[in-house]
Amino acid sequence: MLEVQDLTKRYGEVLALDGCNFSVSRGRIVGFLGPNGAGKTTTMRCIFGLARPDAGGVLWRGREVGREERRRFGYMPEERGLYPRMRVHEQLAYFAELSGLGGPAAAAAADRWLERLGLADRARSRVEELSHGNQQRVQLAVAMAHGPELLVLDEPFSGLDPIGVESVAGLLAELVSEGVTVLFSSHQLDLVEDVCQDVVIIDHGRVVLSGDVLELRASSSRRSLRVTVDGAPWIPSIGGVSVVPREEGRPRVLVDASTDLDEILRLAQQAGQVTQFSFEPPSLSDLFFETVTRKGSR
Amino acid sequence: MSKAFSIAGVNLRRVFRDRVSLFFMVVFPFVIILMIGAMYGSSFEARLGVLSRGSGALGTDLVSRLERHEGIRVRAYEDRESLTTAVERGEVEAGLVIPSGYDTGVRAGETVSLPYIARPTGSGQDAQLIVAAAVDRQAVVLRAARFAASEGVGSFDEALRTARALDTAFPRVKVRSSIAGSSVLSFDYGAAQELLLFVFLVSLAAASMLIESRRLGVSRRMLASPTGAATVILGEGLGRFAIALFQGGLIVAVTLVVFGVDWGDPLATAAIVILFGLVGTGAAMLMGSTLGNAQQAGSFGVFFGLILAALGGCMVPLEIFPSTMRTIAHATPHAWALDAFGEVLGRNGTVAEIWPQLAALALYAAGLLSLAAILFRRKLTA
Repeated sequence: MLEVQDLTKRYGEVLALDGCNFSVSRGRIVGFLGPNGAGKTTTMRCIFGLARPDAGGVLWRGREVGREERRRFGYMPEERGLYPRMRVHEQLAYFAELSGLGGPAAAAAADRWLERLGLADRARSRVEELSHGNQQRVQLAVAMAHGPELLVLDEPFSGLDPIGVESVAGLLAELVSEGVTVLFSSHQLDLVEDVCQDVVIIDHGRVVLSGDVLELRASSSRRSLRVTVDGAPWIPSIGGVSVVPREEGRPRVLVDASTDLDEILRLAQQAGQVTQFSFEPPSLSDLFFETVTRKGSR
Repeated sequence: MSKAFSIAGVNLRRVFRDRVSLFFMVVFPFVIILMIGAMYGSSFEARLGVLSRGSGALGTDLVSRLERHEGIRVRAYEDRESLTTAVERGEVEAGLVIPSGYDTGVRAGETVSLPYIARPTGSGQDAQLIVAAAVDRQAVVLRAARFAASEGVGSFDEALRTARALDTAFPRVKVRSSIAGSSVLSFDYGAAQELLLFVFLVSLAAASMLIESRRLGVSRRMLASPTGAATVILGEGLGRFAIALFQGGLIVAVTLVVFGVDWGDPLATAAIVILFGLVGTGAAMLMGSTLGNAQQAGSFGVFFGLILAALGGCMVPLEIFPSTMRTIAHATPHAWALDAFGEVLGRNGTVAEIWPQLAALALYAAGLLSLAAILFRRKLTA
């Protein structure tokens, strides 16, 4: 288990991390969310010793993370961290060697990963010659080649088309099924909801929400309500309703979980013929905006 | 250490893939040194323009004496104006006018002056010595012939023939010169200056590659792997140090074979090249750890490379620096390395004689590399 404990980090006047606290359970895939500048990258860097926290620390299986522990970690930085003109196989073997494998073992790991990613025929291609999606897969493979137990990825889906997203998400799911723990940051909330089991939301350097995605949605005091009357969206005139502003074409509202559904249905039927009526836990996106907006407006 | 070698190997492969960089790192300095060596290092023949129209048999004799002389190449001109123009344009180092009537005047025992035209600088002054020597040599034969004719041996022409025959028959006294101590104007010293200039400049080019590694996030991946900052700097530096050594070795080998540069004690020369290569690598790693982008590194590299080389005596020899400037010059590693080369090249110095200079270079290298590692880590892990 990875435990991030009370991490505090200041860059001059800017407080990047303000007692950041969360944990990642073994074999889980965790989405690390937050607005720009919330402290995601700084937290990841603290895990790898690439940023020195002013206070707090990081534990792996109960022990403070040092060089030995970091040998079991794989990292993909936001800058991607590959030489564009270097050949794919050479690059994989090189980083596997830096991560502690011997020369022949590193070469074998590179072969194995290229085979697994379906890139064996591109082993001698330069990285810059690959499609964006394949480059991303190679970057992932570089982080994975030495067989780490924890994989930390900074925006692994950034810039990918839907096919690339599907491919990388599939790969992450495979890794998790093999027992690898994955922590990745992203701004794609729907994607995180689909891919992740757990989520950590950070804002202004503090964790504002964390836990199992399904449980967080279920335990929310709000519910997502979508009603269509006579083919047009319908919004009930009751208290405690907030319109989700991001879906203008198909308005949706958030209401209290305790709202009387019978009463709403009755009002809708008075307005016309009800063709759609859905009442479900809020999406991760709803939770994110609720949490970040609320905390941000403190 | 194996990680450092892996990093060095990748670094070298990156360099070899970039053919343009490779050209500027290895071929370009090499060509410059060959050109400088060709200009100053090879045997030099001064070109002498001669106008001898109507100068008669003795004029022709003087021209053929000049043509036979080592170190001078004679080119004939038809009139004074074209000879003067040729000197002005540098087509010949100097011009000699043997006036018409030279033969008649000399035979008549008159004083004949030979106008000599030279540029204010260059080797025209040296060629004048050769001309004077040829004229003296001819005068000796003429005086002998005149003396013989006056003693009733025969006509002047008969006596001249006899004197010429005797002139070639008599053994000559030759002055053989050698140089003691190092000369700051010799190509041996110049080759050492060029070696230091280019090894340092080329080493500084490594800074841009380290910056690229940082910019691409490769350095962060390395540190996260986890690989220590000192190992990364060592590895990044090792590859470039190998190139610096190769370049230094190539310059030594080629100037030795092509221009006969005497590099003195091989061990001492190797020690200077190795330590100076480390200094250059350390400076490059320091720049690569602190500067923001490759363009800055390129500009700063050339700027500091040339400034330090000039201040350190790689452009103007340290021996002709005023004493204060010479003291200031020793703030640069170049000056220490040149001092060491001066000892090795000029006074057959060995490692034992140049240890203070080697120690200074080792201190520079250690200081720069350590500082680079600290700043590199600080830059990436702030």
